[in-house]
Amino acid sequence: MTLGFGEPIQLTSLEEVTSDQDPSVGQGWEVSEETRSQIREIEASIRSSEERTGSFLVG
Amino acid sequence: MRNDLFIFARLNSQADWDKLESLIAPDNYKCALRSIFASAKELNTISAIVEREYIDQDFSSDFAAFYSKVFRRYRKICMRVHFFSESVELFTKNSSAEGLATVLQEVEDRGGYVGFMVIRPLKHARFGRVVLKAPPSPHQMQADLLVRAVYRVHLLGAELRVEGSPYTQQDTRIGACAQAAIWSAARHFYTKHDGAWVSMAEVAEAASKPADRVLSLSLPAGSKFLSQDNMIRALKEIGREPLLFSGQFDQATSKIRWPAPLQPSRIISQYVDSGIPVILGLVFPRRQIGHAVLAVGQTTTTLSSPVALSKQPSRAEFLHSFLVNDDQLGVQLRMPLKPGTPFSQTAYDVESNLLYLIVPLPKKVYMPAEVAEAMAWNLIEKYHNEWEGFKKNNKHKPSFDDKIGDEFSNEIVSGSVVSRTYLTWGWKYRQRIMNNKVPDAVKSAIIDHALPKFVWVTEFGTFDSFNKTKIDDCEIYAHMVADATSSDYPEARLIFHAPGLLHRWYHDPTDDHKEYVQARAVVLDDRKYRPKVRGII
Repeated sequence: MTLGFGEPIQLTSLEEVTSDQDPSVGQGWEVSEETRSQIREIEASIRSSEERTGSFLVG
Repeated sequence: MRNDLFIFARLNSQADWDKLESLIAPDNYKCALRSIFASAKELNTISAIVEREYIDQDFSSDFAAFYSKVFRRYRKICMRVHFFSESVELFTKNSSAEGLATVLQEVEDRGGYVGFMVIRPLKHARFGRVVLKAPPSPHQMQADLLVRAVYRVHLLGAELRVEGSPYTQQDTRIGACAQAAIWSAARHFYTKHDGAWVSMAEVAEAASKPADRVLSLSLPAGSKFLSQDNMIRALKEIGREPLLFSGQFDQATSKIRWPAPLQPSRIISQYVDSGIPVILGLVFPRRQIGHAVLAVGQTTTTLSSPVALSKQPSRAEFLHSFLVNDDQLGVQLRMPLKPGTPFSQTAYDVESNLLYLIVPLPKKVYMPAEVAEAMAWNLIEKYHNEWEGFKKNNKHKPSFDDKIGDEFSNEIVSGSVVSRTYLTWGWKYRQRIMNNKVPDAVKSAIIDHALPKFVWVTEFGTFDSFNKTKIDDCEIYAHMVADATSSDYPEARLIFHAPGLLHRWYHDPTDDHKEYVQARAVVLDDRKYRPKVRGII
């Protein structure tokens, strides 16, 4: 598409293959089940913080 | 006209410091004062100027909120003390006014201004604002004041600047240590990031709305202690998004246990390394009320190899202590990770006393550092799994350096890869990459990659490449960039670089609703590069 003015700035000089061109790009690079479980555990540990120290006062 | 409004003092001997002490704190509350003096001495202070009458905006606000309303009479005029690491030989009888201003400015230009402290006219809480330069590093260690901003003060016609982290003392009328810690964080956000200016009285007010049961346990309400809820309300009020992490105190053993995925030192380090101050809630055996301090930096050390690293180790492995501002003890003090650590400056430590921490994140950050880092480690694993095949397919290309990839892959296998995660602005990450040593082809792919306002960057080096006293001397092999404004973590990955490979995720230009397009490239002539260094682009 031309805008009718100016010239596009050519920035990328790296030869990339995209998942549009080759559907195998990115296959196997999904977030693994082990990492998902690790993340769920982190989130659960943060969530339960309130139970552990919710009534603790500092002064 | 009085001629003793400004006092110049040489601080060459302990007797000189004692005289200054008796001028500004002629009472019994000297613990913090002596600690502040010790810090000033470590910064080679040899002279001071005392402004005997100084109207302080913070104390004026506290005065209006409380002290002006009680029967006992209080003054609102403060004092301010400025420290210098040069003998400011300008207060001779023949000095001209212009000469004074010029000499002071020249001292500042040479870096001779160490900082200042405001002295309130209160016997029970002398210290208002205190800002000192970053502390010197102890022997063979590196002290990094990571939460810092430039504070400008005006004295006798000169503008003096000091880069530091603000400290104040609780007054137990308007606020306790919790309010002091929040005030220090808020003042940093105001100075560094154009956040809201709030006084201690305003912090106390914000912490108490809506009122709750805890506030009614002390008079004036909330002046002796605060709950986590109160602190979080105050942090929200100043425009932050607080994130809470807690351990559990076991009364029987007096020990604190943290859930396995949460490693407190690692967590604090990640946020402080992002320039975010972290409020630390401390517990002490047999004491009903805990204490709050503010982490503003860290001290790292080198380790003698080989050392047993934890699983997915981070740069926290090299930590010696955190620099904390403790309203009762002083400014930028080394709080160690474990008891009995040499060069410690606090009687408490992370392992024995840290019960919880609150991270006042900027608004729009919806993903914690821990999640971003877990995803980054996952990519390292994938890279390693594919490396041999990737190498085989690309080895024939001129300038494809398989040695650096082999080297990094071997470090992954041996468990010696070390991560470092921090939050930064998208634009700043891009600027750092443009000024780094990565190949031009990588820069060309990143220069126009659309980035959100905030990103998590996880850098990967090795035990050896990170085992240096100064971060300036460290090198990294790989990094991942994640969208910190994403709450859906699988969609947060944006850029991953490791030796020989660049993988990117970005919006599909034909349809925003589609899955991210992924793009993969072989990076020729790849090399190690610099990690982020504060203050250096």
